[in-house]
Amino acid sequence: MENTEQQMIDVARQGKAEGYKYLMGRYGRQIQLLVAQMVPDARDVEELTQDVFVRAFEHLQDFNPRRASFATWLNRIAYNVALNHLRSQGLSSLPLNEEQYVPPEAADDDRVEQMERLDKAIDHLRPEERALLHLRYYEGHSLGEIAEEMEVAAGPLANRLQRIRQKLSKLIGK
Amino acid sequence: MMKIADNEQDKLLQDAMRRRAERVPSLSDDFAESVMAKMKVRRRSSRRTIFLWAGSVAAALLVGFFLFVNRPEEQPVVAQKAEVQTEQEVPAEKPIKTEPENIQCQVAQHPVPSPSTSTVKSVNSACLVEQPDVPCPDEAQETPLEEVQLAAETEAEDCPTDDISDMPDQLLMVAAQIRDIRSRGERLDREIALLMED
Repeated sequence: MENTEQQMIDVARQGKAEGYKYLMGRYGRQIQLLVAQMVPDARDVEELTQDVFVRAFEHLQDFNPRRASFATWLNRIAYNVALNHLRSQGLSSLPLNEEQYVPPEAADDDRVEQMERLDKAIDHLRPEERALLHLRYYEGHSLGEIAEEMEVAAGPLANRLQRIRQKLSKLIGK
Repeated sequence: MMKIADNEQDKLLQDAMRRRAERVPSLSDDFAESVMAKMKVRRRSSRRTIFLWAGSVAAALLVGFFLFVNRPEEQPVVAQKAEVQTEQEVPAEKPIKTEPENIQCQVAQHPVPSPSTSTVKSVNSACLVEQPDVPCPDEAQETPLEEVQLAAETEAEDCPTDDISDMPDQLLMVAAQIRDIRSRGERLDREIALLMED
């Protein structure tokens, strides 16, 4: 699998459509999901996902497989593209204001209710925090990989994740 | 407030993130084609930018080459400087008549200061490099101011100022102007000194 991927990366480096299509087919959904976690407007998500691949293919010569995997490298581009888009639109995240946040009415400890509250709480996180949760709990990446993808140190990242968990715990806990 | 156990929270977060991912619609069928089209457009625009830059550089080089080829025949800068210095050292009977003494003589003969006098002097000094001698001091006493002005204006009209091919003369004229300005400054200094003495 890794061999095929490297071959296809080489093919894409030669400017051949076959390589591009393989990489888009393999990583398109992954990138779309990461962008979707950060960008609130669903209409922008596909456009930005396209931009991620355009940028990646234009800088394919810079990709070094010894430094990071292609997925990690691509996620880093996606993270930066989404952040730049948010900045250019003047969109920051909704602040996580625990006083303003009103969780949905919960009559009991039902798991579905809890999930709904958690989902709402995640909506109120900053885009970077949502990206962190996505990479950690959906993609299952290690903190080291996420640190590479978000271009931050692993230590502060672990602290940040802990703080997010505490906030969410307060918001959904009863 | 009950605290949720870490393991339970991890599981909840995993479920929550999975559900959020499931809500995201899949990419459109023509996603790959759209990316390829975008790349083509960007390549075209970047090529256009490169062509524009290359064109601008080529045009600048051509203009530079044209100016270099059509530059006026001129002496080396060292030779020009030497020439200017030599002319500065030339005594009063040489063709250059912009010495402070000469100008002072003219002013002395026509004590009423008028704007036209200074005009005459500046124009005259600019062109005096190749002009005949201005009569001074005895001849000047016999020459009325109007005639001097008229002669100076005529000389000024004849003065070649726009001829680029005559660069050494232009340099000499600039040098003469500088000397003229300097002499006027010196004259003013002397006048001020006289006034102070009075």
